[in-house]
Amino acid sequence: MKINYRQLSILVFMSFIALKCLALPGLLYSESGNMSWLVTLVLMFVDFIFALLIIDLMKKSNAKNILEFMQQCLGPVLPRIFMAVLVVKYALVVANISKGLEFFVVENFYSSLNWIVFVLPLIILVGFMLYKGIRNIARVSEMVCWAVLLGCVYIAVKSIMSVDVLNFLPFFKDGVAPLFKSGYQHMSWFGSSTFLLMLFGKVDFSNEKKMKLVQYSFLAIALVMLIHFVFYGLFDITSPTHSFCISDISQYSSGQSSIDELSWLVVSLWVTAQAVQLALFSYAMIQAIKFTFNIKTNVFPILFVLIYIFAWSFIGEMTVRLEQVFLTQFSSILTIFTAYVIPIILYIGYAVERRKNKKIRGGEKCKS
Amino acid sequence: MQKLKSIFSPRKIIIILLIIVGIMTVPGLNAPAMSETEAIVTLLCMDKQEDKIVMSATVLSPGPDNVANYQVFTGSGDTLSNAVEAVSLSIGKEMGFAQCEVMALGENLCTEGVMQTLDFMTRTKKVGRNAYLVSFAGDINDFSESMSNLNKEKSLSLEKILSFDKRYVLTKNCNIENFYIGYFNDLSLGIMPRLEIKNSESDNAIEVASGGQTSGDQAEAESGQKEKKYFLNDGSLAVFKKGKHVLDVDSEMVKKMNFFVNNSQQGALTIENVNDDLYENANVIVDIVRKKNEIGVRFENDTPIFRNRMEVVVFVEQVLGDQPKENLLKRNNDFLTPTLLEHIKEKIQSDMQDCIDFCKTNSVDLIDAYKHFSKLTSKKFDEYLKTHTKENFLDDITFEFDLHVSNEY
Repeated sequence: MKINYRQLSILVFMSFIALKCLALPGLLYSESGNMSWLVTLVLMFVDFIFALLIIDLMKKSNAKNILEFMQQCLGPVLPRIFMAVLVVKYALVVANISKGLEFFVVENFYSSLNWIVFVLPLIILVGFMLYKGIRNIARVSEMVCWAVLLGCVYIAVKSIMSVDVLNFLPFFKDGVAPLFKSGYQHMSWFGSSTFLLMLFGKVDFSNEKKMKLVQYSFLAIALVMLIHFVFYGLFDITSPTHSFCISDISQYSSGQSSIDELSWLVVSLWVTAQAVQLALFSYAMIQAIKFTFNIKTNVFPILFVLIYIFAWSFIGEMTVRLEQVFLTQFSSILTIFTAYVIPIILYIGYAVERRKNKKIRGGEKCKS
Repeated sequence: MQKLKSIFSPRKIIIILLIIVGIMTVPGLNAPAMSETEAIVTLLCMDKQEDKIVMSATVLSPGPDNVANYQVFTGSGDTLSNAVEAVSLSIGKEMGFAQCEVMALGENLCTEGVMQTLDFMTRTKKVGRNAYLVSFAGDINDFSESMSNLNKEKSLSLEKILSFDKRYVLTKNCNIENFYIGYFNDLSLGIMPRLEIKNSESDNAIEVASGGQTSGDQAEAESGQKEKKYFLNDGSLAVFKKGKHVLDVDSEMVKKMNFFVNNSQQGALTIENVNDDLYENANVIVDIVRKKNEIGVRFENDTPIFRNRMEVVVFVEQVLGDQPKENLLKRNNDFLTPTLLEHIKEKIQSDMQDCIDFCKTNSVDLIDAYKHFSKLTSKKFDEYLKTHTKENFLDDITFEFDLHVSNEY
């Protein structure tokens, strides 16, 4: 079952906004201050370029899956190593989304919530979506995408009159070095296009409308920038103390401590969108596991991923704060490698392979 | 794949869902109502008395016929944590602060410093940062009882009063978040509305009956009589530096301060002794219908210049004093005579100058001059600060006012 180009564009849109509107703005502010928005803008733009690159490779792969395509370009060994690295990357993203969802629900909805009560239905939902496959995930994304977009715009616009534009001045007061440092340190929140690697052979390009992807990507970038603009404009120097950007904006504008009803709906939509993202990256993780260990069936990888999500509910609280894992150098390097280095290597490998093939064909022609 | 299909068959999924719903529903039905275990605090008052923290919480509980019932509970302790525990113990419920709409801080606590209290209440006890923050003068028990009575007897709520203040009086969002932002900025300056509970009648104060138990009038309380108290919200402000209360700003000065705030709704101005073709020694009440500010800052020959360009639309509301009767036949436009216009400009300029003088005298930047200079002319302002301190930087700033007054019609 393949997804069409529009669905692919929507998946890109959803993945672009997924991790950007909760803890990230606050975390970025600690390092890069009032220029944090620029770090997000530049890195999202880089993600967009790499999304285009991967989709271009996807088209050139002639409907091969990623492992077959990598093996064609890079030989038999390297692709397996890449797949194993990608498993780790996807596992970290899944953990980040899952833990983010937990904190978000517990902090915003009901502080005495037993997380197990929430995580069990969530796991069943994700399990069902994984069982149904990527088309199901894409269709659900299609359904929630516009609601999420309108909801976020509503929350941002409602508070925009309270924004103090002076908070964004002066530009580059501490130079550009903190921006690079901050971007590198928070790299794990970017590299959203990595999931595309697992969609090789799963996209039907017959009805391709090239501008769709560009439109959706730019829409995602504009939406994230709008949310970040309102967030920094409202909270300024206290931004690092806010862990839930979207709900904190909504709460600020409500004027009193309880969030108004429509904002509740939007906040709930955000939970739905995050659940779909959890399914998407879990799907990518399953595919990577299958390719790494040469597993043909879906049963064990799906069960493994579901147990993994469930386990995070306990492990995360008991041992480490996930943010700390994400802020390590390992995590940043992992993201750079999987999101940017692998596609570049693949592109070079493909170009070399193509050149070789041309030479061979040229030689054969000469012989004949 | 077949195995997977058999595991995830629709019937099995429905059974699993039913089991989960069952697991959740049974304990849910069995559990006591949340209102029985948790007290929903809507107004939290705190003060310091004889080295002890006194906390008074107005708790919302469902009453008969779905009418909200507000009750006040008080406790004290050596620390904030102990005070919370004392209130909790006295009512036998956990204190839930997430719905707290207003946090009121007493004079003693404000003088000593409020940041530790705010940190404890927001970070540990989860009071929303968008809760209103006010300071109050008077006894804590009188204040919380009065607020409760305000609600019971006059159907007024402090949250609604403060919401009105935000729109029409202070024009700045005086919630915990904004206080934090002010505190963490360079000047470490914060403001909050100042309310008062008085024992005697005074102008603009609302009568609110108080229980009287804590104000020392035990006999009166026992006899069932309530001592009268008066609640005063005159639009005055308490100013904090580094989290400590340093001075009060009266309502007249707050009005003058609002000439520097873009979205403020100013109210009326009284222009005295107007004499021209239309007016004979008249006192004219002019309503400021709307206004628009543009604050600009620049440096000229190393001198910082703060410019407030303001467009004011006015409407002549009343003319006091004996005036010729033909004046009543004039159209709205005719009331704003050139002389009156000049008087209005002079009045506004003099008000703004008063505000600046007040800021300079008290070393408090209530007009956000520091913010504008540091954001818009940061390098030059850093140079300027080498020869000035954050306390006296206003002294050598030149203030320019560019006023444009027009009639509503």
